[in-house]
Amino acid sequence: MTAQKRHGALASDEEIIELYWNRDESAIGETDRKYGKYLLSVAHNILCDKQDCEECLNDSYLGVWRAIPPERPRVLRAFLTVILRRNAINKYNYLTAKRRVPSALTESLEELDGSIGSDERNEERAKHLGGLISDYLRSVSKRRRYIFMSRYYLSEPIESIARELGVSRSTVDKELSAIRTELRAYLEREGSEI
Amino acid sequence: MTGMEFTYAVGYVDMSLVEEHLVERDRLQRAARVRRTVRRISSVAACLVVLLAVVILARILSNDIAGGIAPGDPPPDQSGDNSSPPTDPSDWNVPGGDPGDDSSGTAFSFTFTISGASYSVTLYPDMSPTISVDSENIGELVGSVTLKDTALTCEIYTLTNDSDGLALKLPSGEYALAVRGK
Repeated sequence: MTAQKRHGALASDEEIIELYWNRDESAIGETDRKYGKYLLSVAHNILCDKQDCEECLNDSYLGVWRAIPPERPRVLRAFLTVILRRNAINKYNYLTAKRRVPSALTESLEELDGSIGSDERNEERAKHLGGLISDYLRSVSKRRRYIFMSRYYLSEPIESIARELGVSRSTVDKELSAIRTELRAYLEREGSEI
Repeated sequence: MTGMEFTYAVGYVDMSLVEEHLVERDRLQRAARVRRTVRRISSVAACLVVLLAVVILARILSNDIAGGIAPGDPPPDQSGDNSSPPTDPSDWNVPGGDPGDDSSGTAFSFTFTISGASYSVTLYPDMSPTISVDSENIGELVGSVTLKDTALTCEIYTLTNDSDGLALKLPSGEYALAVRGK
């Protein structure tokens, strides 16, 4: 990495990935310079708190550092988005869990959640559903796919999606409603439910 | 399935869908930025057009007030008082010829002053519009002129009392009129 790259132009994705592969810690700085702002905006859609977002971002950089190598992502930004989203959802769950009613029932539910094999089963189920959702998304129009991913993957506000598409909020609302109905029917046909 | 389970599952959609989405997102955000810029430019342009229209209108109105006579209006009275005709013969200035003689059939010109404002009038025989003379109101308003083609109306205040030796005596007949405020 040249001094010019460090202080001037942004490094390319290939160069950043190469830094990770060479275990060069400047990889994280370069990632932050290039994608930090974008990743924070994605985290903000989920967590809505600056400090939580920054913690989540740091956790994600650590996750990327651990994942590359052996991973060699084809599109670095998509790879970062996936890791950050998972971290943000986990943090969201953690933060909302802290606000649960401290009753015996909550305790017993937490014991059940922590039972052996539960997490693995949940992840398997999530992966299976993720595959079905992917198949469904490939079967719909590009526009619907975009609306779905914006709303349910990046958790973007409906106003923002409408602005990007140049349509009204109610149009996006209607499309989302139609997508949910279609997806429910699709998952039921495939033996799952929503 | 709860909303959170669904959200968790969405995190496992195929990476290619995420990649495609991010590319499309960049494209749409760029297009949205262009739309916003165009909208802002259009708003500014619309404001400028309105401003220009207001300026043009103001200039037209100010020209009408300062130098012109609006259609159907009497000659402007700069003193703000045009209710009384001039009674001082010195207000009348009728250059050249005998204004009362229309037998030659040539153009008839004169200037006059009303409340400090000077006007020049040229009448061409045998052409519209007409001048009417009211002989019963000697010493008061006796003439009115309407120029039909240019929709210009001018009231002429004059005195027709021959015994007082006033210079102006409007002949009968039809005339075209050119009126210019000075």
